[in-house]
Amino acid sequence: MDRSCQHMHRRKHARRGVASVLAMLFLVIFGSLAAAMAIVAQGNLRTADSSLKVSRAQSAAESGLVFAQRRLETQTARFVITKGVVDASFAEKLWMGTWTSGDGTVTISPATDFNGPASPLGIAAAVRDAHLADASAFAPAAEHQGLPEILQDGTLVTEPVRLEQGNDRLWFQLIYEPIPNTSNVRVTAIGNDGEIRRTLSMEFKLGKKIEYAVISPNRIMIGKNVLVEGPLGTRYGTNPGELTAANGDPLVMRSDFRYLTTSLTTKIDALAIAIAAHDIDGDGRLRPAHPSEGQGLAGVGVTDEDGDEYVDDFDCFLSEYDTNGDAMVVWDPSRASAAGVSGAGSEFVGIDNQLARLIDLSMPDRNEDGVVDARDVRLGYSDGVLNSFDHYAKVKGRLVFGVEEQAWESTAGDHWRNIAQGPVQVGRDDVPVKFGATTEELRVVQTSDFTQAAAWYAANVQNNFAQQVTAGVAAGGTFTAASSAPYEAVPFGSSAAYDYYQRPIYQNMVFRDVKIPKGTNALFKNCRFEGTVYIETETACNDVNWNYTGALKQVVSGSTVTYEPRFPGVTAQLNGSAQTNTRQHSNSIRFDGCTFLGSIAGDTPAEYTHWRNKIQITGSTRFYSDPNDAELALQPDGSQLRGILNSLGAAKLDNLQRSSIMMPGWSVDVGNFTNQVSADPDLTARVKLKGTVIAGIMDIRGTADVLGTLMMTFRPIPGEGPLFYNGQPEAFNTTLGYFGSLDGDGEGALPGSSTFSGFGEIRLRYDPDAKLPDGIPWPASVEPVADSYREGGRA
Amino acid sequence: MNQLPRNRVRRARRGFSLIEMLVALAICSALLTATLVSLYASFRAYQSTTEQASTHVIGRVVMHRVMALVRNGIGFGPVPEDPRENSIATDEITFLDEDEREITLRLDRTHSVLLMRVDGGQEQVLLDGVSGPIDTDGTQLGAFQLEYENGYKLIKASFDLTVAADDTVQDLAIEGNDVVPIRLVGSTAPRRIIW
Repeated sequence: MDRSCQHMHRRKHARRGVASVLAMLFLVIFGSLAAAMAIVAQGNLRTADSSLKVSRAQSAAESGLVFAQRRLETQTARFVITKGVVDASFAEKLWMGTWTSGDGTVTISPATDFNGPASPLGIAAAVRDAHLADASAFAPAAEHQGLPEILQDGTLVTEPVRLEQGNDRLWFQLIYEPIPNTSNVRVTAIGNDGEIRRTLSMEFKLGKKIEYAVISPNRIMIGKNVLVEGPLGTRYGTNPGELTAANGDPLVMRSDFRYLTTSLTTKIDALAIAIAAHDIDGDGRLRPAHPSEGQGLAGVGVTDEDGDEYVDDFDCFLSEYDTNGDAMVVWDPSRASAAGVSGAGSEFVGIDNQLARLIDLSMPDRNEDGVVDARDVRLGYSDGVLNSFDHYAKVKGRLVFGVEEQAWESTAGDHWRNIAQGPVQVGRDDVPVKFGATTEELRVVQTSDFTQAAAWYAANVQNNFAQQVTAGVAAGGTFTAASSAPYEAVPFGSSAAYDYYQRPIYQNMVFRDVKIPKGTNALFKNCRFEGTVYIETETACNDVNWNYTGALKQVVSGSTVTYEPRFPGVTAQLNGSAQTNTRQHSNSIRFDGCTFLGSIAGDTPAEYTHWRNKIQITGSTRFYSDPNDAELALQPDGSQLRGILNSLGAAKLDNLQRSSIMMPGWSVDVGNFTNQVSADPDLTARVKLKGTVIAGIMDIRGTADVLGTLMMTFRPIPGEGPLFYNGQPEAFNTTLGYFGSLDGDGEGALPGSSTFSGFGEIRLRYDPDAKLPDGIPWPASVEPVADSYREGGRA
Repeated sequence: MNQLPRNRVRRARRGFSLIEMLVALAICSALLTATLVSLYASFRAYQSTTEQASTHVIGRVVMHRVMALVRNGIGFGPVPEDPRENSIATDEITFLDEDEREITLRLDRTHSVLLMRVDGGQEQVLLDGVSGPIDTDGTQLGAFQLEYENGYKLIKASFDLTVAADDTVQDLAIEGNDVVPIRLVGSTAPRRIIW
C-alpha cells in the first residue's frame, strides 16, 4: 500500500469514528429518554389501571351490599312469626335457629327462588342455603375453600360471587355477622378486582312490620275528605262466592273534590272515565306526556294545572277554583299572607275548610329534618294555599287486593278505577296497585290470633271498677245512673240507629288498670284511663239472635218519644238458658272526650255482634303510651301525663305500646256521624288515635287523626253470625269518612240539607315505628340501617 | 515534472482552508444547537409528562378521598336558602363524617388550594394549584354542586375542579412544553342518607 492510500484510509477511519461516537451518544441519550418516558407512560397506565380497579372493586362491594339486602329480605320473609316485637334476644334466636315455644310460633315457608332445605335452622342457614345454590359462587383462592360456613358465633362467611362470566378476578364476597345484644346483622361486602379490594359494611335490622295503613278481610270504603298515607290491603272477594255484585266491591274510594260544584263533579267524572280507559299503571292519574295515557286527556277539558306532570282530581279542582291562573288556590288568606304568598285572593275561602286543612296541613315536616319550621311552610305546609307543593294524593301507598282485576271488573260490570277513585302515589321502587296477592303476601288476621296478647291485658287490670268509681266521685267526678240518663242511638248520632241505650254516665274520673264489668254499657265523659281499660263481655255469644235480643226502637208519637222492644219475643241462648236481653251480658261503651294513657282491650267474643259488643270514641280523644312522644310534650298537661306514663313502668309500657285498641271481634266506631266543627277549626274536637288498632270492623267518621295500622278481623259470610237473617256482606265494611247519596249512601246528609254538618276531616297515617302485639302470624322483615354504612372493615 | 503533482497532493492533505473550517464549524454549531434544543425539549416533555402524571395521581387520590367522605357523610350544608330550590353551587361544603366530626371542604380561589378542616381545626391543604369552574362570561361557578330533595336531604354531590401541575419553567414556546391542567369531575350520593 502506498502512503497516500494509507493516509486516505486513516482519514476515512478517523471520520467514521467521530460519527460513531456521536451516534452512540445520541443513541444513549435518546434511548434513555425513550426508556424513561416509557416507564412514565407505563406508570401512568398503571395508575389509571389501579384507579379503574379501585372503582370496580368499590362497585363490586356495593353490588354485594345490594345483593345481601335482597338475599336477607327474601330469606327472612320465609320466617313467619307470631311474636310481635323482634328484640335482641329473639333476633339472635331467629338468626341461629334456637327459638323455643316461649317465643311463639315460627313457621318457615319453602324457598321460592332456589332448591334448598324446606326448613333451614334459622335465617343464617336459610341465607347459607341460598348462597350454596348460587351458580356464580366460586372459590378463587385457597382461603375460600369450604365456604359457605356458619361460624360458632353465628357469622356466615360465603363464597365469593363472580360478577362477570369467565372473569375470576372480579367478584364480591359477603360476611353476615349478628351483632351481640342488638337485633342487627352486619353485612361486610368485599369487592375484588384483581389485586385491588374494597370493603364496605352496613347493618340490617331484623324486625316485624305490617306495612299497611289498613288491612282488612272485609270491604274498605274511603269517602270524601279522607287522606291515607300508607298502603291499603284487602282480601275481600277471595273466598268462594264472596265476589258478587250484591256483596259489593273490595275497595270503594270517592274523590275528595265531590259535592263542591256541579261543574267540578262533571270534570271529575269525565276524568274518571278517561282514567278507567287509559290509566296504564293504575295510579288514578294520567300523564300528558305518556303516549297512551296522554291520549285519554283529549276531550276531558282538564290539563296539568299544577305542573306536576300528571292530571288528576287535584288538577280538576285547580281548574275550577284557580281564578287567577297562578296554579294555586287560596283557602286561608291570613295564613297565605303570613307565609309570604303574594297575590293571595280568596278563591276557596269557607267552602270546605276541612278539606283545605286536610291537604294544606298534611305532612307537617315536609323536608323531614325533624322540626316543623318556616322552611316547611315554604314547602307548602300551612301556607294558606293549595298547590303542587302539597303533593296531594288520596292514598300515598300501594293498593293491594287478593282478588284478580279481571274477576272484580267482570263482577262489578265496571272498571275498578271507576269504583276506587282518586290518585295514588307510591315510591320510585313500588307499584301503585297489585292484584291477586297471595295469602303469603297479604295475610288475614283472625280474632284467635290475639288470645295470648289479650290475656296480658286481662291479667294486668284490677277487678275493682266499683271502688274506682267511688274514689272518682269522691275526687270530684260525677256519676249518673242509667235510669236518669237519656237514651242515645247506636251508632251515636246515626239517623238509622239499630239500637238505643240508656247509659250510666261516669264523668271527670280517673281510672287505672280497670276492668269494666259486662253489662255496664256506659258513657265515660272526660275521663282519664291510665294503663289498661279492659272491657269484659260474654264470649259465648254465638247465638244468631245475640245481636237482636233486647234491642230497642224509637217510637215517636207527636211530642212523645218512647223506646220499645224492636224484636219482641226474640231470645238468645247462653249456657242452656234463654236470655231476653243480651246487653246485660255484653258491653257497648262510649268514650267521649277521654284521655287514654295506655290501651283499650277486652274479652274476645266468639262471634262478631256489633249491636252488643261495641265501643264508640267521640269528642276530643287522646291516646298516648310513649312518655317521649313529641306530641305529648305539646299538650297543656303534657308533663303531668308523662309523669303518669313513667309511673306505669317500662315493662308495662312496652306491652301497652303494642296496641292502642286491642278489640278483636268488636265493632269500633271512631268519631261522630254528625260532624262537629268549632268556629275555630283548630279547636275542633278530634280523635287522635295512635298505634296498632285491632277490631272486627271499624268506622271512622267526622274528625280524626290516626297514626298507626288498622287491622280488621271480621270477614262477613252470608248466613253466618250477624248475617244470619239475610245480612249482606256489603254492609259489613271498614268505613272511613263521608259518603253521601251520590256515593249510594242514603245515610249521608247532603250539603245544604238541614242535617248536613260538614264532610269531616280524617287523616290516616301508617306508622313504620309502631310496635305490634303478639299473635299476628306475619313474616319477619329486615330493613337497612342506612346510617351504619361504612367503608373499610374486616377483610 | 514527476514531483509536482505529488507536492500538490501533500499540500492538499496537510489541512483545511479557513473557509472550510468556518463552514465546518458553522455546520457543527448548528447541529449542536439543534441537538441541544432537541434534548432540552425532550427533557421538558419528560418533565411535563411526569408532572402531569403526578398531578393525575394526586388528583385521583384526593378525589377518591373526597368521594369517600361524601359517601360516608351526613348533615350536608349549605342548604339552599329557599327550600324549593333543590340545587346549590358553592366553593365550600360542610358535613359530618362517620365519627361525627365536622368536615369542611373549601376551594380557596385566591391561593388556588383545596382545603380541608376537621372539627374547626386548622385548615389543611388537600391539593394546590386548584381552580374552580368559570362561566363563559367570567362568572365564577361553584366547585361543589349539591342537589337536595325538599331543600334538605342531599341526594347527590358533584365536584368540578381544575388542577394545574406545580411547574415553573415556562420558557420554551413549543407544543408539549406546557403542562396541561387536569380537570377533576366527580359525582356521588351520600350512602348514609339515601341508601
